[in-house]
Amino acid sequence: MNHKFVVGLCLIVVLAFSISISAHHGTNISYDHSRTLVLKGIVTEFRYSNPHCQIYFDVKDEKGDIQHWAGELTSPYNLAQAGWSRRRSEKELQPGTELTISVWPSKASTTAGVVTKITNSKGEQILSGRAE
Amino acid sequence: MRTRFMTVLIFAMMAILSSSAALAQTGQVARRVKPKSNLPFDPHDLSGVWSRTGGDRGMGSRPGVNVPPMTPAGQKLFDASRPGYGPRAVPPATGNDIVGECNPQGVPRLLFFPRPVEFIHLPNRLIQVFQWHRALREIWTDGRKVPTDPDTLRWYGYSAGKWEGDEFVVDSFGFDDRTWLDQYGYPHSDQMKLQERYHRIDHDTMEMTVIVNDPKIYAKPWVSEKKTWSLLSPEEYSLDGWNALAEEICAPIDEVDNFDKRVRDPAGGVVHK
Repeated sequence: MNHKFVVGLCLIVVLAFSISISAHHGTNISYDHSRTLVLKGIVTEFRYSNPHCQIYFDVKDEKGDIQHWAGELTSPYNLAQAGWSRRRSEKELQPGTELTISVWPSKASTTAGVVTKITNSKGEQILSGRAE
Repeated sequence: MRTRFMTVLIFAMMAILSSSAALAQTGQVARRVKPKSNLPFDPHDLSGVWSRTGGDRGMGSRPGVNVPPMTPAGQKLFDASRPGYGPRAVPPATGNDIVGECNPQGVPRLLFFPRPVEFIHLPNRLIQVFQWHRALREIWTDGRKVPTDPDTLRWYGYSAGKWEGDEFVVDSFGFDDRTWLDQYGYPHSDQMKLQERYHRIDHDTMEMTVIVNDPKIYAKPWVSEKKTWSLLSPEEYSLDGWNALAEEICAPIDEVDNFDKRVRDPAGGVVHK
């Protein structure tokens, strides 16, 4: 096994896990943790509000129709402690911004999910919240 | 050498992930990474900003552990509760946890949430300021007894505290019975007598045990798991260089009008038109 590959793999796993457990506040039961959807979306609204930040974004489905998605994020306090202040977060999530957003989708098959990862157009992971 | 290094690394990652998974499930915050100090301390001084860092968010070490037998009335209330956490969890959109609409958490539930709480000693009372929900609680130390038949019930009850040796003992009564003991939906009545016992065991650490005496609901007193609290430094709890508790108010204009209607409820299959 290649040394760099193992180190890189471990880092990816830890990073992915650190954001995935940022879901909280008793809503976890609403989401299917066994299924991750990776969505290409355009931000329509971002709310940096307590106790749940929210991101709303549009996704084009296979037929070309627009789906309106709602994503649950961790609290502003957790984001801020991880370095994601309101200004920094809002700057990255301005309406119209294209992002790749991974979610654990609603078990009810609605277009809502708890966000596990957000990547911007430069490939940078943003808004990584701390576990609560 | 390289093989051994990679083996150790893989096992280390597995250990980190398994502990993180456990933390995620129990809601435990693993914030304190600094070593304990050996600074002197006064066991009768609880001043400072603390956070419950050890133990679960419920009465027991996990939901369902050490629960006393319930009375028929207690069992009926328990069966009617639909929490968002634990083995009986339902999507909050279809649950009945009043906290989801920003209603007060009450105690002991708020004491179990892993967020900073400032303890302020005044000559006649101890003030607890909770960052979570920005709740404030007064524990009177002027010798008064808690009322036995208060006219008005309170979300946080009526509290009086005194020292018994090195334990600060808080007795409370007069609670609004719409709150739950913890996030797992365990009920209490308006006749609940609540006792908290705080014991500062070193400069950085305090232990707390909660005792619920509520014969209308439980056939015998319920003694909680011993919870550990850690003293936090301003660097651990402050934001943006402002040396103070943050403001984590659950405002209905944000939570009910936006998050609940637009995220929580659709996620639970309840879509508002």
